[in-house]
Amino acid sequence: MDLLEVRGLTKRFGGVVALDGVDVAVPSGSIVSIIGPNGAGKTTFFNVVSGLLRPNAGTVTLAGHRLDGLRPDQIASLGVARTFQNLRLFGRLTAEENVLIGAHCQGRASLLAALVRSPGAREEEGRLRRRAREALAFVGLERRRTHPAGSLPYGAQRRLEIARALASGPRLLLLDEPTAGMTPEESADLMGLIERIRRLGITVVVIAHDMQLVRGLSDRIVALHHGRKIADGPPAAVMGSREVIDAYLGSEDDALV
Amino acid sequence: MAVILAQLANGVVLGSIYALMAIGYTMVWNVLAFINWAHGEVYMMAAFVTVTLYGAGVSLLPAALLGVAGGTLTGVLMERIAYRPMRQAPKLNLLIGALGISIFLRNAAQLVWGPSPRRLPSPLLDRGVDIGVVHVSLQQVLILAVGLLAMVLLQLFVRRTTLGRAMRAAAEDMETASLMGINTERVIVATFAIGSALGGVAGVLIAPLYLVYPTMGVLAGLKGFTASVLGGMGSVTGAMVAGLVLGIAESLGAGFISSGYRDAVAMVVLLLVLLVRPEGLFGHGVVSQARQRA
Amino acid sequence: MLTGGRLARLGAACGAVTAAACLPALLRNPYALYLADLSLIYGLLVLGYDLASGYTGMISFGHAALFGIGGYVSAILVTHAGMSFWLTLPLGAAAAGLSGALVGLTAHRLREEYLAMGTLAFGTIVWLVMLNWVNVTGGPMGIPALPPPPPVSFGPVVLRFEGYRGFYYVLLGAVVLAVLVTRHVVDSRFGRACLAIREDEVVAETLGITLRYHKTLMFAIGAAYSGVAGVLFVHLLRVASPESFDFSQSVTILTMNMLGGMGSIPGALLGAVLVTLLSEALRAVPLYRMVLYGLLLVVMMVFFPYGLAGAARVAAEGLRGLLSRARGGRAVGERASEPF
Repeated sequence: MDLLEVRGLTKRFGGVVALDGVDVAVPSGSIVSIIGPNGAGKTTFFNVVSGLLRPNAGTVTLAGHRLDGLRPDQIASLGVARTFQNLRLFGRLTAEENVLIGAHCQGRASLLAALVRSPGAREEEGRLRRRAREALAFVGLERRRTHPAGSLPYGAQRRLEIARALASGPRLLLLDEPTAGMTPEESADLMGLIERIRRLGITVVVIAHDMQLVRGLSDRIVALHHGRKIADGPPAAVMGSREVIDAYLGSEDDALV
Repeated sequence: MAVILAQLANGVVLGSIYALMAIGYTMVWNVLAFINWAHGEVYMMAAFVTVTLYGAGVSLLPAALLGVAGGTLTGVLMERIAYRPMRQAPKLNLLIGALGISIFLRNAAQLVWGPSPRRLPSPLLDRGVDIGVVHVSLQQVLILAVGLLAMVLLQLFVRRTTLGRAMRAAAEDMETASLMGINTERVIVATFAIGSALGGVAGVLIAPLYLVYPTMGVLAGLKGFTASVLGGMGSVTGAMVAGLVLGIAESLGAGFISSGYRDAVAMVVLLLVLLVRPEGLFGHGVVSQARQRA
Repeated sequence: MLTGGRLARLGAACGAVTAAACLPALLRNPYALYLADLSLIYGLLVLGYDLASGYTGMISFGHAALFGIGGYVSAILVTHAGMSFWLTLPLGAAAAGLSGALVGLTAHRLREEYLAMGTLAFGTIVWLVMLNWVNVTGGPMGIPALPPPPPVSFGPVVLRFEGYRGFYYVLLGAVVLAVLVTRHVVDSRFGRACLAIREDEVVAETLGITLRYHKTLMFAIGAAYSGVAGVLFVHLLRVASPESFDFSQSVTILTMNMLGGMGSIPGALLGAVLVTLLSEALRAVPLYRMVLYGLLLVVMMVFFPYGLAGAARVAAEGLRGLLSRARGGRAVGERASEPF
């Protein structure tokens, strides 16, 4: 059963075609990686799926719900969470506060209830805080929950962003270059983390440049180039594909004259 | 009928002033994505310098030119002293900092020159032309003429000269422009200088018609801003067209609604534009830019 | 739920309220009492502005209009409809709150500069209406001779509030209530969502936070506070006039909030008190006052964008770091050597 179904997705910025009729199907419970040289359209893909951009054509469906055309907050409450290529934490807030905000859509109490501290509101608040603690513990940041997010070491910040996304209770997790800038050790740890996320039943789509990570984790790889899908299949097939290799070496482009 | 035509004429004249101010805002926006809140004070400073020099015995034309120079200098100094250090700071800080400069300047002007409005007599006020049933003073004709001339010169400058082309390149993409060897600092200063010069010209031209007083930049600045938004922030053509439209709308409006609400016309226009079509007539995206950064 | 830190803060707050309650007994001079009253009103006003603008990122340059709407609605109802001052408090709040909601609904998507200019335009329009709609607002003269708040009786007990001293307790009550409500709002899921919006609204949206709802509601809440402040203000001055609600008033509010530091309750109150006192000190030379505000804004933006509260926080963290290092541990925020 496919959790995420993307058909014919097209996104243009003025004259530039960032995504050109992309079809992607992500089976529930799987880990799919998206690879491609810079400018291939990978982050644009995430931006469209998460609702930050509207596609010019095509559809995005999550377990039968149409996502394209919805606002980001609506898409999030349907169970989609993401991290960002450039790491966008709430730097001035503590780690715990970051994750607590992540748990926002798990709550329902109205402002009025919160104002009078109704039993329902208080119970929910406790539940949200427990959830936040669990998410922090899951990524190994429990001990540093009161540290300002901006002061954490880089690797911890990346993991914090993931914890924040997890706190929202997603069915689909989009990770945009989660290991960028990490040491090989940190990357290996992160691979383990993503595996543990899969075991929770969450479907993961990862944008990555780290081929070891991609090969080790993915059930399937989708390769993009100039906004078009050029390969889609199990790691061995995609990694060995002529088009993928050419795309990365750029031999189609103006060569090194 | 005559009344309406007279108001129309008035509106066109005012419109030229608003257009000049609007161009100043738009030019700075194009290059720095920043709205110089204190632009109205540039207009005011130019007028005051002119009035002061004239009062000290300098004859009108040189005083006016020096006034424009004074306004230009004010704009350039603002950039150097206040905006440049804050260029990397979050948008909010720049916004409030610019507001601070505006407040500082207009109240400091009041300290220096006193609150009473001053007159700048102009020989062109007394003499006039009759166009059909309407009588227009030469001063008004001058404003329109100079306004048009300034806009034409600006277009020529931007299209034909090296610096002008550099400004356009920087407006498109600052980083690439600097990588291509364009001295972006010089472009920024030049942009402020030209934008402020136009604002200064507006201030000097309008001074004989309406009085010169320290807070004259407030409404002119706000209306100039409205015009630049209406035309589409970033579009010089839009600024020119919108300035004229706004001037005419205000004049006609003030004729039909009570004159006490005259200034409200521009405010209402601004609100309407922001509500209905923030990009204005010829402009681009104005909804929170944060979205594009994902 | 009461940890050591919370107990300390609660204690400090109680101490502050008690001290504030004793203040009128120490102040003999009616002018000093007037200043105390004025400081409290501005404190409430800035608390409202901090919520409306500081917690949403929607920095408004026309807040004086919301202040004024509360004041004028009250003045009009009291003089033309003979309504009791007490009843006009919630009505002024509602009028300002609704206006704020309207502004929020229409403006929340705009980027900062446009929002600022738009709210400036809104503020100017409201002020022009105050100035020109002579039949209702009394025009430039405003609505004079407002009566003092009527006494309130609870059975045999009659509370009187005439005079600056009596009014002080009304104001203190309002401020304390406002602080309590603010605390509850800020510490809730709703408040956190607004904080997230202010910090990074794109990310906030991807976490399921609806921008329009939160921005509009928070802005309206802040506006309601300012409406109450407006009602209190016109009754302190005994007149509602347009000159109290012009652009320089909006600037004053902004300066107070910036000085104290956005997003901080003590900051808002401190900023209000300091600038009120400063402003009265410079009363003889109002021009210098505005020149100073302008300079203050620029200097603060360049050097202390987070205001006094921010500076205090930095100092406190520095102190904590020093103490912790002295005890041999690692300072909060220092990088860990191990990945976990």
